[in-house]
Amino acid sequence: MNHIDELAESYALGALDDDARHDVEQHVARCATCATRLSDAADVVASLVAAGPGATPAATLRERLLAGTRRPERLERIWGGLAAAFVLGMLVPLVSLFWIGNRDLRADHRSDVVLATLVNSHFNHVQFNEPAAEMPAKALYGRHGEWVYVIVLHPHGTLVVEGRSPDGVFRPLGSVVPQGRNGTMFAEPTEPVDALRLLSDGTVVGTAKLVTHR
Amino acid sequence: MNDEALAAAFAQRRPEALAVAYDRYAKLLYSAAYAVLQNSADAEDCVHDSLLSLWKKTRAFMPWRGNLRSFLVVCVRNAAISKKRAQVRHSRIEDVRALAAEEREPFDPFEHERLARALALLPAEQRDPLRLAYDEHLTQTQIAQQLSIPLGTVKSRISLAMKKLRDALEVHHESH
Ligand SMILES: [Zn+2]
Repeated sequence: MNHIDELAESYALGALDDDARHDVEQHVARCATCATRLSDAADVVASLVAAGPGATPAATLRERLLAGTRRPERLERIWGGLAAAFVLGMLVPLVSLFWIGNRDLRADHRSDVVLATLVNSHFNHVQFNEPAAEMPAKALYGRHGEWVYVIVLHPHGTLVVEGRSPDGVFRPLGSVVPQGRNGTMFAEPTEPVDALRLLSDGTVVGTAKLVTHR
Repeated sequence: MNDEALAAAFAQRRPEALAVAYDRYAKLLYSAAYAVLQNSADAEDCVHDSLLSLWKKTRAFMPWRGNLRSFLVVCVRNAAISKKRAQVRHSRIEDVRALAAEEREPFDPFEHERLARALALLPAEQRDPLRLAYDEHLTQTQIAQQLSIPLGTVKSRISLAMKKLRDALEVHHESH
């Protein structure tokens, strides 16, 4: 899209349909010149509104709004759902991943071990920080950092998870494997890890610090 | 917290910033939504939903560079207009003009006077498309149809009208 030019004033006035509005928003996110023009137009609209009739919202609106910021966000609810699925129904994909990370387990005890891990182990969870916002990711991990299960929503590119060993060095733990629309990675590092990072084609797109009990 | 610090805190999603922004701008934002929707429940929902969704994706704010107050007014007002257009599509059009005519004081009497003077200075060919956009919430295309002028002309007249208003407001500001 070229510069938004005269669309800036129409946008601020509300004279665009939803599609054109969206185009303007996309453009000003990347163009300082047009963002400034839009801000100028917005100042005029704010003046027009202030010149118009005043109205006062009900006192309850403030509390309702602030309660909304405390409510778990949609993403948190997705994670809550995933955690429940993890415990209740995601056994099949986990079993196969668990096998990959536990080649030394005796075959006849594999299922038992997986179930035991799920049911008996205390695990923590952490969300990968800001850089991964485009590709939200979360890690479930054993409380001693002895195992790590990473879930990435809508992954793209080649994703690798690295873990930080006690010597402070990040070492690869494994690749994120597609599971439907999401991706997962399970690993049991040889040494406990206290931090994770997510790399997309070699670039760090997220980090997470693990709270482990030594 | 001055407005600049508030804008920065809002963009960083600092917990206190939404409360401060609400306390500072809620009346103006609600007035903006109410002027469009003419219904208190809808206007409250609109302010609530817009503020919360902006709060949750504040990156959208960053590129604007402008002041938080104007930004919020435009976002809330645009959301109200979308809601209004959807309502009009899905129900019979009621005579909202009659409701709007109920006697109410301007939000800011000083601003009211400044704008009235600035608007009076606009030629009719610029004021009419501006009024259809602002008061009737028509899109550029609808305005072009209503006034029987090309779309490009609507765009440039609206743009010119807005720039003149801005200049008039600024000049007036400096003389104070
Ligand atoms: Zn531009």
